[in-house]
Amino acid sequence: MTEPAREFDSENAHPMVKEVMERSQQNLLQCYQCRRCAAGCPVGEETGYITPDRLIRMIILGDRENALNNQLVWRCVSCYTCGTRCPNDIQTARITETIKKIAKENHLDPLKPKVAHFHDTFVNSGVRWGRLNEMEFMSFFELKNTLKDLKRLKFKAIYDELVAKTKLGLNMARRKRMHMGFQSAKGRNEIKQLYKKAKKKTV
Amino acid sequence: MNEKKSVETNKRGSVLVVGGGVGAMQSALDLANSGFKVHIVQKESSIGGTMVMLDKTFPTGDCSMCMISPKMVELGRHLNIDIHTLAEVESVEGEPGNFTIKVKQKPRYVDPDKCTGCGICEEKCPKKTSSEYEQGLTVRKAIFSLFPQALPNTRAIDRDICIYFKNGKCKACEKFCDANAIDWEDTGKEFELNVGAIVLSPGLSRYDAAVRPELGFGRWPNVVSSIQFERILSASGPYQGTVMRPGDKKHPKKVAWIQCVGSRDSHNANPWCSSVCCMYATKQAMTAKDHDPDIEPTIFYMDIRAFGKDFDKYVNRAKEEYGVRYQRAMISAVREEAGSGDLIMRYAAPDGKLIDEIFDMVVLSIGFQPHAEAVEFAKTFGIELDAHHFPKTPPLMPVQTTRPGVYVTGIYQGPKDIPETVMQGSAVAGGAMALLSEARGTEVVVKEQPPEKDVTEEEPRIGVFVCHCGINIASVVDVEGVAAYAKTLPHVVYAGNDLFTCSQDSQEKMKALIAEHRLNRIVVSACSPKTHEPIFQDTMEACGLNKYLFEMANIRNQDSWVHSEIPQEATEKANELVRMAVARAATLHPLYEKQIPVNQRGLVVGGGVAGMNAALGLADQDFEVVLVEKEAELGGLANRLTATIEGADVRDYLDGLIKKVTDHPKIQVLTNALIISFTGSQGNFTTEILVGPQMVQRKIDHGAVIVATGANEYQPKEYLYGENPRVMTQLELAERLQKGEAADASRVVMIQCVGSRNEDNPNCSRICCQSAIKNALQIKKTNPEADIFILYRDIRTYGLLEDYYAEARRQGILFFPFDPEDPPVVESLEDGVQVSFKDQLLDRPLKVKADMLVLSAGMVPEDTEELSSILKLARNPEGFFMEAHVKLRPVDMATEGIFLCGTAHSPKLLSETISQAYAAAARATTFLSRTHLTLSAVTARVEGEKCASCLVCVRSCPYNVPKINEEGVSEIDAATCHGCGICAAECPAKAIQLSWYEDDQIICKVDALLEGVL
Amino acid sequence: MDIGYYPGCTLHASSSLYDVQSRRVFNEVGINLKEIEDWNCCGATSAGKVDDFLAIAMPARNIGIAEADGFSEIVIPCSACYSRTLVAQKRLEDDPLLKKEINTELTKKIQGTIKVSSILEVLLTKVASGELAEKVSQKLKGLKPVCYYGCMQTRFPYKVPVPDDVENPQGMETVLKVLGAKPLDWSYKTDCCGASAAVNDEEAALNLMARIMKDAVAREANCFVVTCPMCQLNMDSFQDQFCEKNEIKERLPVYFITEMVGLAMGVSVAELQIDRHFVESTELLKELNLI
Repeated sequence: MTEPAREFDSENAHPMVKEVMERSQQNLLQCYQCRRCAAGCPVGEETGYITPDRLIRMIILGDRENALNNQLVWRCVSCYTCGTRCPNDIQTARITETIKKIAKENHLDPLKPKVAHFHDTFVNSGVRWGRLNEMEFMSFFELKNTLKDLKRLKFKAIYDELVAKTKLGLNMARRKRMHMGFQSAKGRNEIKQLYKKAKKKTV
Repeated sequence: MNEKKSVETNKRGSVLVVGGGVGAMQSALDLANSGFKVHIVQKESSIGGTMVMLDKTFPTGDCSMCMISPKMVELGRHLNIDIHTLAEVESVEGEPGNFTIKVKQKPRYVDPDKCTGCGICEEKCPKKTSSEYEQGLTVRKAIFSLFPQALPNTRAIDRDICIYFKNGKCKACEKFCDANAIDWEDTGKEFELNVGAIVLSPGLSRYDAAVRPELGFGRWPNVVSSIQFERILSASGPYQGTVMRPGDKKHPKKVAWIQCVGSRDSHNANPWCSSVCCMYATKQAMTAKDHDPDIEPTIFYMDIRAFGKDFDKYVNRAKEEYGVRYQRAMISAVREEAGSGDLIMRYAAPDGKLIDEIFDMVVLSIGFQPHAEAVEFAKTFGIELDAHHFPKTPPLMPVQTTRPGVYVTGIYQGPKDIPETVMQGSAVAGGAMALLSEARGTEVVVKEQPPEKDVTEEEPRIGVFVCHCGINIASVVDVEGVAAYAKTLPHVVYAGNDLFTCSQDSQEKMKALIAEHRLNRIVVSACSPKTHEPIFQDTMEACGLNKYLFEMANIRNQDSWVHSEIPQEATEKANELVRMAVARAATLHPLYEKQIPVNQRGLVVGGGVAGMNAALGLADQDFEVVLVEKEAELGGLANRLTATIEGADVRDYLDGLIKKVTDHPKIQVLTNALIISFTGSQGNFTTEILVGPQMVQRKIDHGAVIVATGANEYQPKEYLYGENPRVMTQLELAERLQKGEAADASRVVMIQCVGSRNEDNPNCSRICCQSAIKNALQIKKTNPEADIFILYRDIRTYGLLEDYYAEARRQGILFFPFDPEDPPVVESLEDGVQVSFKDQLLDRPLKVKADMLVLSAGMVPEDTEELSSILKLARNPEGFFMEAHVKLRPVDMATEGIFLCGTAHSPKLLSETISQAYAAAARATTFLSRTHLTLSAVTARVEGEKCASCLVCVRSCPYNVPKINEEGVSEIDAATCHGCGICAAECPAKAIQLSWYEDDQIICKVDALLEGVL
Repeated sequence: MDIGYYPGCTLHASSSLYDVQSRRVFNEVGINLKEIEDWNCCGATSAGKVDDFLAIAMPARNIGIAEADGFSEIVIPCSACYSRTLVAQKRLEDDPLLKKEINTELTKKIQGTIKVSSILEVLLTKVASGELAEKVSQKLKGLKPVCYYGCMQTRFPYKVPVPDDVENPQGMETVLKVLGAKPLDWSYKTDCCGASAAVNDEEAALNLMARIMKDAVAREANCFVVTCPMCQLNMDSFQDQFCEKNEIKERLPVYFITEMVGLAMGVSVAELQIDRHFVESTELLKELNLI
């Protein structure tokens, strides 16, 4: 053990556990570290082996720094496998969803900005028109990505993304899967009202 | 035997036992051997339960069937036990002491009075279906017995698939049945029983792993359930003991077990722990390796619950000697590799990496769960169930239900292993006996015998009865030829053959022939004496012949069954076997079973909870008891306990118990008492005791002893105990919590396994995990924000205790595993204790500044070095007493008449101690309830003049029986001799003879065999 | 008979073929899919990652619409939309205050009594009644599909009444067997394809898709059959990419269940728009003489 020992700090631990448990509605204290979720997580290898059970432990120990911004939080695809098989009924995907929000509220720079952009843009587009227009949504999504990459001077990344998405786009066009029309829901105002309400809600 | 009594009482002297497994069997035998009539009502067509499906049992590796079939046979033959199979209880009315039971028995379609169990019907039946006993791995017939050793061995017809019942054709069974036993008109029957008490032991059902398709059961052929694997391992199973995988019958190399399938799981499964799976998986892994050394077993687990006596030693053996790999990681899904049938499993390694590994075969360790009809069953008997549908029992009396007079035992009461089941079986017998003690003997049947004829002056007149055994023998051996040959042998005056010598009518025929030919020696050439000898001996006694004038030649198991391909040679061998048997029969002379009077008083050594309950168990049945306690006060270790995890107040209980004992007219309490000498044998012991501070010498005569010397908490030497006042043991913590101290502790660290599971004490102390959780929950009650860390090696909250572990986590108590090679490090600080340990999940070090450090110190037995040498009782290396047999005689000592209970046996919970105490009392009652004990006549005898006092017999006897007497020669007490014959074989001077196996009686067989050869 | 129909955004966009197929195929068995009026986006898996209230409110509105439109049942082919709507309904049932809160902003108020069905549930009723079998004009002999359910059809973040076995669903297999195909059992039935990660975390998603492909190929399946348009798009449009990356030579067409049903009923390739797949999907059908 070359790492220095962390000191357990209840000042951080208690409020973090409470917050995550309340917002995600998951009783993560119930975990008995059986490692089943780790074995079943499809992105386990991609997260540097930060598996759902380890995330839970980080939260319990109040390790805010690691718990709020780690590979699992951003790579979790919400496949819900962990929670479906958990013997203690803990749906960790709901926890990662919750932490994505907490991270945003705390203005933490997401480890996978594209993921954050995707979901934000998706919902914004959906709410804006009442229905999602793929072209419109993808454009905003790519715009956000590009801006972020520009700020970080990641020109190659921008180029690669452009190439990849163009390829995809052309392919889709060729297969007539590209939707050129425009769809909307008249009742989007109701959705917008609900959105406003959502924003007002205290976490 | 027990005498029949007629007594004025409303209480019945009989008991109903529902169920037919090992627990029910133990209850039935203890009750019947103590003067009560027993009715067994069993749902299946045979008794046996789960144990008969197992191959081997842990931790001894004994063959399960070999251990249980003698009990089954004893049960089947017992005059005072009636077995009703295919039967269920419909209604129960009445009150404790007098219940009226309505029983409905389903039709068997085979008449048990006529059926001889030959099995030809089963052989000839054309209709097959999946076998429940073989767990679907092979088929059974429409007419079948559950398993080969079924009892009753009467076949039964499965009406749902029988061709005759479905469309009126076939009837092959009837065609081939020589005994005319098929009864198509059978409608079953309904009858009433009138009993004094009810024992419920219906067992539990098993979790159906098909509910979890991600584990592949029922989907991928090479995924099997653990019970299927038992059948695969079993020599009488579908693969005859060769370990093969069902998909392609290949021999698997890498075999994986997945633990906790269906247990400890709130998700489409059961939240409790099934208690036995960690041990049985270990056993299966070791046994599989015994069958095939190429097998590489891996067990995927969460906690290894090896909490029983010597279980950790067993697991260590598995790891070190058998190379069983234990991987602490659960499996999410079992995937099949396309084409090969192999299974791919992913798991998280300790360093966090995810590893995909391929296995040839996967075994799912499924757990127990209540039967589907559990709720209606409970309703029928009027008992309440808990939230999990287990019977509700008071925390300190686990065999009582909410209805007086109705008791529960075995796994029905809660998941447990075989020794605990057997113990509880005896415990309920004790409970029922206490209730019905005044009615003892009122309903038993006693054998009436005519006076024995004196044949000592007569020449041997041997009758030989050769059996066809249906076609079992006759299809291979020329039975008539053998009988004709037998007639030519010396001393044979009658030789004949029967279709089934064991049948009722053959017995009558035998009696007539004995009278007609004045036979004084009987030879039966048939099957195994183990099962049938007593039948023929009964017949002989009914004719006034001494039962030791009997010899059996096994021409079935040892001949026709194993030489079925070579009938001519088999017949020759049968002739030889008969010749040998006849030769021996001629040498037999009558033997007499001694009767010794029983002193119906019991001695209990130890006045703790175990001793007191055992004493009450006996005293409530009106036996006199002397309770000997070495301290000034009664209570033992329980004096330091506060409450059980269920919340029962131990002090209250203890006070009540002590009062009951001291007030009881039949119990004499001797405190400050020390045992100084012990002599005698079963039924007649004499113990000398020094009592009181004045050391007054007392001599007590008694018939049985119950040892309950108890245990203490280990005094830790590690982790700053004794150096820092913030470091204490769990008992000390509990005491402080009760006094209201330690209420402000806001950060507590507990370390498990202190003084247990190490080099000095390799075993688990069993009670510490639940004790730590109990105290942690107590702290949380007063201070919900307290941070409690429990550092453990395995959390062993077995059975229904698992709920408390879940509750502990729910309340935020944190659990961290550690390896024994990397234990926590503690350091004294000014205002606390710093505990440093590794968080294995995050693979990084953690430290906690604790207000209190609590050590879960284990249990060490009371120092019984002197006592054990006085009583001549064996102890294991850790100082706990050794019982006669770990599995099937968990409260008996090797010396007859001495019993054991409580923590003197091994660490256990208070409720388990109480259970075992009642069991010991029940077992002791099988002695004390008789005025006389009949000893076996098969005992060893020393001819003093030949003895050279070489002490070989003394050293070789496994029961410590031969003693050098005042004349300086070896003497064997017939009362304690087990008749094994080792001393007779070992004695270099040939001074010892074993009755019924005397030298000439054995050598004549060899001579007869080699007649004409040498 | 008329059933309420919620296509969702993607069935009006890149997966519009699924919409066309569903309508056509259900028509054949006597079900008229009536698109509910002015439905809105359900939020898919993204809403849950952005705002919990919205994640319920968005699909909840559609329940209100369907009920107000007079339907007793609503069928939702897209797995994500189905999942979100089912979860929303159960959440509202368990939390009347939440329902009230959402209803205050809606004109078509939610009762919460409508039956929310997946496309398989409805198809299976037609299997049970024998009506589907009647409409089969050609058996899909030679087709050895692996049925790929993905996540949203089987696993839910909340306790909802699930119509099929979660770990080993049989809905598609049952339908395919009636159509005469021989679906194969395999180990990746309900594994995740990566979903949106295909565009926001490509490396990870491609690995997931490759694993699914490998098992299907090893089982010697000749195609995938799916119900989820996201899975279809992923496994179809990225197949060349993840196969090349992982040295998989084979290519398996990814059919919607509705394409299979349509084919068996004799509907043409053009009408079913099977030519709008990325992976060549008509060759196999020609080989098997199904077209």
